[in-house]
Amino acid sequence: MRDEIFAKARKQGHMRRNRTIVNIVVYVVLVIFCAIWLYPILWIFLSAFRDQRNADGQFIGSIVSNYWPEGFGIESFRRLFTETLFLRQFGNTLLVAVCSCVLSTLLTLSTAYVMSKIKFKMRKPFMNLAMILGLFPGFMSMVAIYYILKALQLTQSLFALILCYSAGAGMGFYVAKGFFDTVPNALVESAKLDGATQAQIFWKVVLPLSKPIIIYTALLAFTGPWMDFIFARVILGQENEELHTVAVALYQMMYGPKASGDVFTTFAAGCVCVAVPIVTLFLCMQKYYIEGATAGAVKG
Amino acid sequence: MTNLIALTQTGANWLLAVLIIVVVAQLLTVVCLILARYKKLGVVLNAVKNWFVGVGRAIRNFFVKLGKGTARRFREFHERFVDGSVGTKLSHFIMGSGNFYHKQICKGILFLVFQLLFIAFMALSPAINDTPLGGQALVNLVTLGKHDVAGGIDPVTGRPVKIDNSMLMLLFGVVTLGIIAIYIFVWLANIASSYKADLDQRYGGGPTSFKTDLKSMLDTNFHKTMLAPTILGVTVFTILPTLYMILIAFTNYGGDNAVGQVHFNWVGFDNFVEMFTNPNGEIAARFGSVLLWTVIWAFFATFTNYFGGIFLAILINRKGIKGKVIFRTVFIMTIAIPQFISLLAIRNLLATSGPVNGMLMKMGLISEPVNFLGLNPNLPVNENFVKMMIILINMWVGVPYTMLMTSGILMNIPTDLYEAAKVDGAKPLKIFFKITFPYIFFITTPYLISSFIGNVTSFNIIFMLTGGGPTVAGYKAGKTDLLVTWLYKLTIDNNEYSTGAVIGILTFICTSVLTLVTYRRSKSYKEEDTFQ
Amino acid sequence: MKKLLAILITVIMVVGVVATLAACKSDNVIDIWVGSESEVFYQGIADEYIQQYNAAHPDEPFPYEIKVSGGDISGYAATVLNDAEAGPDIFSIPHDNIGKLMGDNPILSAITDQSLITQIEADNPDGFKEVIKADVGGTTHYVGVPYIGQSLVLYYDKTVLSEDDVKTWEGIAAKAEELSTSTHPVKATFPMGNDCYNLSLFTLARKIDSRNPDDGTLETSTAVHIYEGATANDRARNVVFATDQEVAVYKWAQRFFKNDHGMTLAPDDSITVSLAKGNNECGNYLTLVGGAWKYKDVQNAFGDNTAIAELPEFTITEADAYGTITEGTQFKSGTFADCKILCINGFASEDHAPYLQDIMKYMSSKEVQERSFEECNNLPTYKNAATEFEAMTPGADATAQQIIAAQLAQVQTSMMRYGIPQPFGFHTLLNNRFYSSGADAIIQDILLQRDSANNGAAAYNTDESLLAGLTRVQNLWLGKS
Repeated sequence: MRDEIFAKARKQGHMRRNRTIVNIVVYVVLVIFCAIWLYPILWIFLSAFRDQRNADGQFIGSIVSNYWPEGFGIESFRRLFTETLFLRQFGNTLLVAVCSCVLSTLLTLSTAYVMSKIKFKMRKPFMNLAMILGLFPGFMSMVAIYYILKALQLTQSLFALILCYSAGAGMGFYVAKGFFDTVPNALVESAKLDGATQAQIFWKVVLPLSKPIIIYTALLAFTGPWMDFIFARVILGQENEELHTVAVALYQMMYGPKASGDVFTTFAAGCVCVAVPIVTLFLCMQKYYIEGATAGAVKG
Repeated sequence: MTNLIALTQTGANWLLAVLIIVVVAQLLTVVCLILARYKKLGVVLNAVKNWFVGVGRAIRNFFVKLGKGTARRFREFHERFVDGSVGTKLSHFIMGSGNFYHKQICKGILFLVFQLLFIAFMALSPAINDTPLGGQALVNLVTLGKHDVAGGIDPVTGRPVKIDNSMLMLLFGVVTLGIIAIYIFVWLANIASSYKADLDQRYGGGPTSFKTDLKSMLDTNFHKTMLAPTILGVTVFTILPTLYMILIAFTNYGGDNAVGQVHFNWVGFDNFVEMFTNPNGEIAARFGSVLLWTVIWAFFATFTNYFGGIFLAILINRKGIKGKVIFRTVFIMTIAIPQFISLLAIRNLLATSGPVNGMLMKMGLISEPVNFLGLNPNLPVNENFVKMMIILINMWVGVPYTMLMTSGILMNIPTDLYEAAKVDGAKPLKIFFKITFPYIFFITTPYLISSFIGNVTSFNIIFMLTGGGPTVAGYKAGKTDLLVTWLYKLTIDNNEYSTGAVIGILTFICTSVLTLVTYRRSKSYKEEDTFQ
Repeated sequence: MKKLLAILITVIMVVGVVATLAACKSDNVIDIWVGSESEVFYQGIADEYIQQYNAAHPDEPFPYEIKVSGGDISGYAATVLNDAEAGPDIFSIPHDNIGKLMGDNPILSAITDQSLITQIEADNPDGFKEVIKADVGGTTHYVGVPYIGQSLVLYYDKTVLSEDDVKTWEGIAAKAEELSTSTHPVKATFPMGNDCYNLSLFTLARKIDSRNPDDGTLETSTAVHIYEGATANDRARNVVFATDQEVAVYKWAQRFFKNDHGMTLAPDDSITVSLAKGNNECGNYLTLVGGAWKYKDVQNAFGDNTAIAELPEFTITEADAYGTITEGTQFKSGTFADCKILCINGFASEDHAPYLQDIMKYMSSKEVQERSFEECNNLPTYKNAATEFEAMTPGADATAQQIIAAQLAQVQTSMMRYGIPQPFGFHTLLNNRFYSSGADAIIQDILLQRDSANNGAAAYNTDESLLAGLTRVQNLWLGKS
């Protein structure tokens, strides 16, 4: 009897020790992973604040082989703000992002709501059409869109870019539809019995319950213009620097025809200016983002 | 030490092979898990057979349904014409007359004005940018402008003589066709509206007033109001351009013809025929290998991210691990940073004189820099090594996302499943393979499908990391080019619009085949059928 | 919430209207696009032009404003090609972009002003006069005015290499070997890019026939022909590349690439990084073969020690001799000698048209070219610039920067003697064949003696396979696969 108790205790102790060892291994693996994932990001950050000079005391703006800078300073930011149009371009991006965020969110939510909660004849064909259109590579039609904008006398303006970013937003209704599907139909039905119109149900019953999905949709729509550089480059024209968004401007700075090797730290400074607000926004909203991402994965 | 590079580079083939084996093994496990439910192979084969039969039947049913539907429409149309009032009959020719007949003046005027505007539009052919819309645009759609007249230069002013712009003519032709389609739609709506008024009259209540109709836009017809902006936007910015680029595949626009003013002609299926008849042409010579790499890439990109993400999620969510929030925040941060920043950072980190090579050299692991992405032409390049690097870097980009997603799912796995397993004395590994993994896998199938398709059309990774290189002498498509990056090179970089459009169509065919194969089987599609 | 939404939507609509209005260009401005480096300078010239115009026509002042914008001139042709109506009135392009913009249905206006034509013919070297013409419907027109020139030169650090060192590639390689240590290998040189333009230093290498004993200028010749001929058809068919001369030159080049202290292709690092000294006596590379637009990158590495020389010579050894090219034959590295031109967008406002040619005449005049050189280091195209422009021979009180700039211009001008203007500007087809048919990948393979289609296996190491490789390049340029 006593032996049994001892054996059990030993076994438990064994298991506990085992568990501790496994936990330590897991910690080590996780820390290594974090290091791998932070390595490039930290590098951009360090490069932005780098102040390394050559033998003549000249500032080195290009990539160097040492990861940790030899000195810190804000020369790159000075260059970014005085020698390029970055502030203006930041403003452009903000304008485009805010406008297309509002428009896209409205379009996406209204489409998703209709697809989820209203029965009508063309529903199924509409969903199939959305799926088929999604199969064409997006920028195949970029050139055509340029000509359509030209016929509308809209090329090379930020307004055109806002239109392009938000016009197709309705097609991305899947995640939001998945959310609306989870809103109980009974709620809608009872509102109908109380004499509410469909519009009232949408605005007064369903939307107030949909804060997570509104925020998720708006977050994605808002960050989109900060990340896209291909579409914006074609629509705005490579020449019109004063119209560029930050993504286009930074890409052009490094790899555009005027690029020189000496702008890397300036580029890094620009990246920091773009990434800090976006990352902060994401971290503040991460609860909603995770909810949306999970729902999107499950609902497809 | 140089041996080490040689080892890394020639060893890349082996590493890739190992990677393939690992992922294939994982896949096989999954398949086995699924198949484990069937006890006999015969059952499995039968299931496969049934699936193909099912797809075939679905296709046949689609066409049968389509035929029957069309026939029914025509029958209804005829019956309505016979059954309707004088106003309804008349509204087949003069729009709105049925509404006037029922004293719905506002509605009637709207329909009539629409018809008059349409007739004026078609007859007068208003011009934008010197190119007509309307009836003339239909003629231009066929001709794409005059081809027997060369523009040349005005000898007095020296200014070039303006010729027809084929691009705008094609565009306006398609727009006019769209407007005609809208007209037909409104015309049908006009007849339907008149007939509805007939029925309302006949069965009591009387025709509805304009005010009621407007009000219904916020109630019974609310979906129309809500969808209108989306439909408008999608038509103008997605459907129209897509149709337009499909048509471009049948012209000779671009390449050597992209000189001077925009002017091109229909060539029918020449661009497609050339694919088969000119083995040295860009498409014929490169399509096979680009497609193969696209599929390999999509496969590895999807599954490495998927399994990597699940692995990471399990680590972070392990019981007894503290600081979950911190770990998760680190990975969310990498999702939030715009891809062009993180990818360009990685590309530069891996450059010949970048920090990674610098560090490896300082540690004495290598004596000569490693050509990670094949961007330094002076160092030996191993195609497979570069491809492997791309897939690994893609894990950096994609794993956090899958991690987040599966974290949520992991937390939602019903705990009683685990309790029961524990009572049975199952080992943690067994619990994972018997419960956790199948649960995650079944619940995320739709995500797997959509992410596979997303990877087929993914652009940023290749464009930012290698730009498609190493190059292949004589062709634009490099060794790591995907279908989409190839398309980009052809259209945006080289103005070869018609070739690009052909690639676009081929890409569409690939993605739609994939979708047809997988989508019909997915959970969400099946659920759709039992919707509400 | 609703209120906020309403406000936001109103804001968007207002923005939309404003943006649309802003997008409509006012017709009161003549738009001129030049390279970004000289935007400020030419805006000043434009203002000056208006003043002079108003002084000459007191009762009828110049009716428009002129706005000069700077940008990347190699992208302008594509922009105007896609949407000419939205383009500028006058813009600058490298001369080989003319082909894209002309053809039977051209976009550019021809030059009709007789006084401008006189100026073009009087001021420019013959090579340039040939490449600014375009054939439309059987008539030849001038369609652009050269105003800035460019060619490949050799950049080096004058504290590391002497003027004698940089006369021959062999000399530079010897110096590189001397400066190398076990931890810091040094190579002689690299080009700023790996395309057919930058590799022209071998493709267009010229055999030295004789040397003027007084000033050291060379009489040179070449067996290579790239799109030469009287008519467009002749030109398209006339590519001679797989010759004895090129086999010998490329055999020499292969050895130069194989030499640990010789040449490499452009690495993926920036120019500044490759040239910068770091903690050593010199950088990883001693010199750079590049154009004037890489000047700033070189300066970042060399600072005031930057020096510029003509591309060096090299001597065929016994190992390289092939066919008619014997041991001891000397060659001079060649270059494309190009010009940037100003041209008129034929689809810009018709009202502006009568004024444009006169503006171009002023912008490209000898005096303005001289000032452009002084203020922006732009290389003049004016044919007697080297002797007539004072700034080309800086005085004793010139700053280091001015001396380097003058040297850059002088060397570019003298390199023009050993170069040809890119001869395919008149047709985009030939331009495509030369640059986009993949010939550059084969030339790179030849230089590195590898086969990149076969994971870099050894190749092109016999005379026969080398000749076969050169023939393949020739065929690609001729449009045969």
